[in-house]
Amino acid sequence: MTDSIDPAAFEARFADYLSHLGGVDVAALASVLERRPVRSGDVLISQGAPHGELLFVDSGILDVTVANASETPHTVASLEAGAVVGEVGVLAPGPATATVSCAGAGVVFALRSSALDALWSQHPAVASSLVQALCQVMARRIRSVEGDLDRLHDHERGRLGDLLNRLFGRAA
Amino acid sequence: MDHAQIESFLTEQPWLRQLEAFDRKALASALQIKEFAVGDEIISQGAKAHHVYLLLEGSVRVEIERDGERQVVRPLEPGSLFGILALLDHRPRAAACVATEPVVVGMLERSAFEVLSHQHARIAYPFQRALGAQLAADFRWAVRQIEHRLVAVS
Repeated sequence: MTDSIDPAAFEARFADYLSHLGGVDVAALASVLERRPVRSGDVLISQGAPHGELLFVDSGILDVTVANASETPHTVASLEAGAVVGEVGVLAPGPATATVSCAGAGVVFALRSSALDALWSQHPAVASSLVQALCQVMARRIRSVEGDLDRLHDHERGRLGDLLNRLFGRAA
Repeated sequence: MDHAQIESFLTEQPWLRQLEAFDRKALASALQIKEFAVGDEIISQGAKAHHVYLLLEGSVRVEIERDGERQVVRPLEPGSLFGILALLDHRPRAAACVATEPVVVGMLERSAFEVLSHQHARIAYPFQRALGAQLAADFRWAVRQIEHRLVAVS
């Protein structure tokens, strides 16, 4: 953990995301984040490998890449400063559903799943608000994927590329 | 199941081990206990959500109906939470949950869940972590379904 993250700058950078946290204590949240410089080519999350962090993109560009048995790997999203990725892993560490790699040098702030518990022991309301918000994010994604499954039920193969992009663009 | 048995059950759940005994007692007292027979539909797809459920005894099967066909999603074992999605987003139930054995559930009302979430963060957090873990598992399952379907049609 580090105290080098400026809560005011963090709040400004991630204002959109934090607006869903109901006035969460940003300083408390920032206190359990790990500042991590990244370089072009670094792989932060590897599809299929264990993963358990929420990543806040402070600067740089992260590419989200998906490979599956029927397709060659392809980039489905590029994340810039202010983006957040990894909700699935931080809620339940396990195999990642996409690869996230650096397309440009920058800095990410990582929230480990275990750091959430540390946050709870010191700031239970902050940890509770954050997990509640992450659950809301997951609920939206599951509804969206369920909708995709419904559409896939009737879709012809020619329209699956759009489906892949919409699905895996938010899957990591 | 009486409240002492429910407290004992909660004590055995890994996701509640961080709670103090008196917090587990408070959570146990907030649960309404209900029994279901084999074949009973505990949750109906499309219904309005009033509770989240903790499976205390028995086995439950999650099913989703698409185009008139019921697809079995997965079984749930004691300790599983279910009925989460609609409680969080206030939309209709996404799936049906059917008792495949005699079932005992603990039901937490929406209002109690919201009070817990907003006013009792110390107790709410482990519960929310368990909800989040279940949602993440559901998401991974759905992604695998997409992948399998894509492979099948490729």
